[in-house]
Amino acid sequence: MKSFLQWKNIPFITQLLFFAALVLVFAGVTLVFFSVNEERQQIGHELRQSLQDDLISLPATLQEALVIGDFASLEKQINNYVLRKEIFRVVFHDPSALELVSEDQPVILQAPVWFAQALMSTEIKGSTAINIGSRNYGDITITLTPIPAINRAWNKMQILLQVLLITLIVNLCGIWLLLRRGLRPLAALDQASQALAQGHKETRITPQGSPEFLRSILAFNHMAQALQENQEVIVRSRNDLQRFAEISAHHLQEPARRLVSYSQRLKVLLGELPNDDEARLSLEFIDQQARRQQRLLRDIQLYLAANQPRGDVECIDPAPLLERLQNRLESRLKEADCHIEHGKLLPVQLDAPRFTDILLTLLDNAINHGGKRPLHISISSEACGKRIRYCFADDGCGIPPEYRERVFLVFERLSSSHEGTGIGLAIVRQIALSVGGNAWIEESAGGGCSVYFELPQGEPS
Amino acid sequence: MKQLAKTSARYVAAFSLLFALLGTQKVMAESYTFGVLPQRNAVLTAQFWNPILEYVSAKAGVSLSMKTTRTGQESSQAISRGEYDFTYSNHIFKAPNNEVGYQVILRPRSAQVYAQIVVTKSSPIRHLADLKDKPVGFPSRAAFLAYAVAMDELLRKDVTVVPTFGGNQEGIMGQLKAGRVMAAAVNSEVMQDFSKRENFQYRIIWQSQPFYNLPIAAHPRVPRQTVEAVRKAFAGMSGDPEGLRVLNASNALIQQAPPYGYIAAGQKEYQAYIDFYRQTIVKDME
Repeated sequence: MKSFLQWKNIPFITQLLFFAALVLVFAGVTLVFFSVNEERQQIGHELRQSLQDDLISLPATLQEALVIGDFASLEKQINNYVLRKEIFRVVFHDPSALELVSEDQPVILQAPVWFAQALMSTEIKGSTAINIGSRNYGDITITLTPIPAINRAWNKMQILLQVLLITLIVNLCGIWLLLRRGLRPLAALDQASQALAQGHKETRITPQGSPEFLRSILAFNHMAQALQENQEVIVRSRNDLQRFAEISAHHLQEPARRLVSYSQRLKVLLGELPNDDEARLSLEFIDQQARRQQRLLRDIQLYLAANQPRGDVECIDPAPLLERLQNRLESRLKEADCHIEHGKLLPVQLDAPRFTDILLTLLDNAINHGGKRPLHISISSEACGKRIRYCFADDGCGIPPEYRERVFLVFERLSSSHEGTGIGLAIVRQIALSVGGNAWIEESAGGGCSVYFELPQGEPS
Repeated sequence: MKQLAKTSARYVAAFSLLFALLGTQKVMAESYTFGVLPQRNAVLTAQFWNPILEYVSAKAGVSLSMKTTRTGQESSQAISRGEYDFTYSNHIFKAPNNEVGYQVILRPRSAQVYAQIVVTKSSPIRHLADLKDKPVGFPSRAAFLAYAVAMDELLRKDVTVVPTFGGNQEGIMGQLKAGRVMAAAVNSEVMQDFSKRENFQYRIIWQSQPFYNLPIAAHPRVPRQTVEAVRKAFAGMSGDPEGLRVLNASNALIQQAPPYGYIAAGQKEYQAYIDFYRQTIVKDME
């Protein structure tokens, strides 16, 4: 939840809409604030002005009735006058203490109390004497109420708020629609990029959208074209190289076999010759090197084939495969006093021949290079995302840190005391890399060597 | 004993002074109504008369309160009921108002006035006979010069007109100016003032004998002492700088020409009114 709320994780459209809404709301609030302020000043000014005007016009209206002494007309005129908007009360006092009071019906406040308080408008009152020809006929007091003005201001404010709300909605909808349509090429770009990443080098995007997107799409298409051409060149080169290596290894196997064959024949022939140790030794060396050459060529072939499946890629349960290998290596394991233990091993998605190559290579390495008797090999696995990480850990002599990366290079051996070709771990890594995984070495808890490799998680069919 | 007498004398003097003061206070507190014939609109009438009455009140030691009505008819009715203590009106001379007993105490210094029948300057009407069966404006049936005298002449000349009433003098002058009536019967002084103020040009097609302008009269119930004090105050206005200032200001409102002020007078100066009312053939005066 926390990471979702981080700004960078929020979609661009949402960011833009949020910002636009924020700006509009801020503008709206500012507008409302200034409107309320202006209304307050205006209402106050209008009321004061209105009072001044009323204090001039009402006495003029009443003069004739006052001079004639027609109090019935006076009362009627005052009652009519009080019906004007914003006039709440009119009080007339004459010099003989006669009082006429006329009050309008209280106006109901339609605006909310907070709005009325914000306008801070209160009743205002003013009085004036009615003097005609230097004689005072009385005085008049007029009380104005701000409520009609507040109600009018509230109606205006409601319209303003409605317009703001409509503007906000229309604006946000417009932005959303525009972006949704305008960013469609982005989705196409996204899909095409994913297709390209998955290896569909022929992916191209139909030019569409705004000039900016057009440029990006054209650039993408150029890039995809270049990638495809480069890929084709690389594939051709690799295929040529692979083919050359395979053919070379195959053709070199023949002379190696002949060397072994003829060295065996020479051995047999020289067996009848007495006491020629040097010749015997030379022959033995030729035989060994011929066999070594055979093994090298074989491993080179395996290395060259490590990138490609050698059978159906399927979900493999390691346990039965491991058991078969243990049976196959039983005599060697017994001779090396080597003990293998493992728990529940997680299935992987690979072809069986290559998985067998990995297991066989690692077991073989452990047996040959463990260096300690008895030797314990522990095999474990754990899920790491969509891959399974295997660990072959022994309690042997281990590999110094400076050599842990070198041993994955072709033909690199830590010692020549064993018959290994120095290609085994390179094959293991090549297989792992070909399916998006990797292989590496760490030190075991007991000081031995732990070889890790990652393969895709098995997908049961 | 001598000491007691001196003390008693002091107390008597003190109480006498107190009573004298109280008595004066009582005289000063007396309020009287002063009814004015509505020749103009009520507000203008009040603007004209209130400063004058304030001056006279202060000088006479009484409180004079101006009263008026909307129409001449209402004013005449008020006079017939004796509502006013003092009055500025010529309706006191006609029946039944003459039975109330108002007595003239002052007349205006201004020249005598006339009843006139006037038309607009550009009017084709030249003689009274041209008004036969035409609409002629009058303030009200209660107006002396502008109805009774003018209509008396028309009736004696056998000129039948269509009377149209405007409520008061200036009201009907306004109707003449607006062309709603062919002619208007007016008080010459009021007409002149209106003409100057409103920049209205007119022509007189008939004019009566002269009459003194409206008198100030007192009701018989007003104490003699008060009547004399009021008469003296009015008569002294034009000779007093403050009174003259008040008169000038009030007359400037209605743009009336001098002389301003009032002169002591009696019923005899208004015999012409009394005789007219006795001899007139106008039957529908109010």
